Amino acid sequence: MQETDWQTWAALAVVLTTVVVFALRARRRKSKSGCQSCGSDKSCE
Amino acid sequence: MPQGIAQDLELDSLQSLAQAEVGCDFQIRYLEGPGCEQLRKLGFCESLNVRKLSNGRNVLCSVCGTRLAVSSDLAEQIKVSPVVAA
Amino acid sequence: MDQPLETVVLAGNPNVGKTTLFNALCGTVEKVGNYSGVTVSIKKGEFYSPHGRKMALIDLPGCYSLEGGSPDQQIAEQVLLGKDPTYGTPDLVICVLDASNLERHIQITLEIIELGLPVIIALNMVDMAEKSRLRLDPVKLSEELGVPVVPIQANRGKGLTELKQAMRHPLPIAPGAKWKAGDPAARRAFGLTVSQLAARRSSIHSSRLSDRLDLFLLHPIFGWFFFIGIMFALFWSIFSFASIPMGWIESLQDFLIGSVQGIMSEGDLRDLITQGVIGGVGAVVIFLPQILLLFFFIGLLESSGYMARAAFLMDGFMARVGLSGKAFLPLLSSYACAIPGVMATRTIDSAKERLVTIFVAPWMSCSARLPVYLLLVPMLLGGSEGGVKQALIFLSIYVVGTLTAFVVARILRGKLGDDETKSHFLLELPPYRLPQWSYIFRHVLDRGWAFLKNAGTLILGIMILLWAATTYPKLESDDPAKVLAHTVVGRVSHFIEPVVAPLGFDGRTGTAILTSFAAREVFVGSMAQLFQVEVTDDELETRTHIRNSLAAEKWPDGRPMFSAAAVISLLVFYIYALQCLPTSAVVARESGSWKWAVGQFLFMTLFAALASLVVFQVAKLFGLA
Repeated sequence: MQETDWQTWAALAVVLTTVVVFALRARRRKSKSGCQSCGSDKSCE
Repeated sequence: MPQGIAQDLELDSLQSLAQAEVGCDFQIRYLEGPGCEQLRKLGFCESLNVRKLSNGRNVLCSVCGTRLAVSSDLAEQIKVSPVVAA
Repeated sequence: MDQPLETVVLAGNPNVGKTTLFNALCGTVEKVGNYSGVTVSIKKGEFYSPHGRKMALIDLPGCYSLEGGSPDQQIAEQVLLGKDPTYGTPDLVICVLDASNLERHIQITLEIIELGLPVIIALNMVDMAEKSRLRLDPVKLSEELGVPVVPIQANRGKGLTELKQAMRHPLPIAPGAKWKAGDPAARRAFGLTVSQLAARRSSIHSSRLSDRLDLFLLHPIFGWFFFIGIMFALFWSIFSFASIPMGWIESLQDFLIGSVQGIMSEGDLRDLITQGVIGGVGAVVIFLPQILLLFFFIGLLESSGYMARAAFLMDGFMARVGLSGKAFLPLLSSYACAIPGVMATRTIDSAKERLVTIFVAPWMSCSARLPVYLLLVPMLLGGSEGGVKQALIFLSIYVVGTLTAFVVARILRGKLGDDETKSHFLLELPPYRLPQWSYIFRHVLDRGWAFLKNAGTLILGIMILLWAATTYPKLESDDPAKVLAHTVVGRVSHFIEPVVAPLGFDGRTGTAILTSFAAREVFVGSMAQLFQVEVTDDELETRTHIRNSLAAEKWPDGRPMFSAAAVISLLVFYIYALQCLPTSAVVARESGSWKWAVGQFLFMTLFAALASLVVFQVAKLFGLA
């Protein structure tokens, strides 16, 4: 059982990508208000 | 003046929608009071016919085929006279 | 080289079918509800004239008149006067009128004509007018007003071609007022005369099925029984009917996990996929059937017209807390999601009542809390699924949230003081209608898809990050407790535990609560991960498995961790905590200041923590811990 095999690297890559995506979303959301789980309320403006 | 007296008598016989009897038809004679602009904007105008449906904290009535619920103090401001059903 | 589109505006009374017409013309599916005031913001769409020219269509909130105080009336007035910078002066206004109620609906049309705008009248619901034995004369109406009149039936799509034809170039000329302009009394008298000419009634008042139904449903005693009965039936069916589709989802989940485990060898990536992604996200997605059912029943009630009756019934009750029946509908929307509920408060005339309603709206338990409740409630009943007891507990959860909201509303209302102009209760009760199934189904699918999208994006992301936090940094050891303590989550939990222990929670539960501030549903996924639940083949088993694992958890001293006291305390926390940043953003916008949103967040979080503390400590005294 290797210490850091390819799976560990792959998993870490996924995690890092997630962090980056969140950071980008947070920056984008500062300019417009987000409506996530409330549904497709287009009339939310 | 007979006309004046007749008018006065008529005005005296008016009751408010709040006092009116349930189940009868009435004609709106005039609206008087602070809430009446709100009523007029809704289309509650003089000379329309209204049927009173129920009493209570809110009065239920039917105007031109539409059911409306009106608070009783607002109903106090609507003066009506009875109409004999055709 | 983009020429600005010609703008057509839809105006008219509430509940007259403007949005239905908007959908029919633009091919969209905006929300239609059978109670006054559903449209509270402007909707813009595009459609093509018969000659293929693209035109912009704007759907205004419904108003009885342009001269009014409430925000939606002001919006309408701004747009019609051309004062709204986004839209400019409208090129044409389509006034949608209910053919059965010409006398009342014509007033706003006359006001718009007086503004000097070109108008076309769309006479809607001609079928219902005919059923009430009204004799319509659109030609006469057109002559008297000087505008084209097109009879339509928006919900059946009838008359739309003729309506579009009326909009072809050249656009109709603004007719100008045929009464003494600027004199409201003259305008009203004119409206009355014209209505009586164009729509002749055979009797003063025709009794319809709606009236007979209302005799029961608005009855002071029977009406309440019916209302409570409907609410109970709603909750009960959410539990009973959803279990089969939930079983399917669980099977799918286990199948996926089995496949991945078959394909991949042991390792971090495999764990990430099975535990983090499939396990974590699956724990949330499993509640999709119940959420769909909830929205289905709400859509049914709205579409049939019952909601206005419920508002009428609630008015007396709500008056005691300083709210009116008008606040009922926004609060009811908040049971699905507080965001549209807060926006619906625009129909409330009284500014102070509006603020109070916005403030307490998040305490109407929204659908995001459902997965949390669904996980925890059966733990109080010893793990049995379904049944009357579950429904009753659920009902009590909602009642508790609602009652506290009313109490706080009363206090807040008292502090804010009376309004300058007293506004009275005035509500139109539209006739009962058969539900529009196609609309309801599309609405339910919309909501379901939004839920899944959220699960697939935000929740997925959080589950991945959480998995990383429970796995790294790694420690070579045989003791799983030591391994966990070494990870990020382990350290955070260790840190939080003294803070949440008085509330009945351990560090891991505390961490799960923290993650749920991003989205409440995340709590379930987090708990699944943090308590190292093995995902198995049977869905029902997995869910009960999570509960079994939680039920089996013990504190170091041997006491069960998720005793009745702890579960109730957790439930209470979720009833009261405000864990939704988008809601706070909307509150800030609708209330006009950030202070309200921040104050609301702080107040609710502190209240939740305190309530949780009190409940747990008291329950401990009663030996429930």
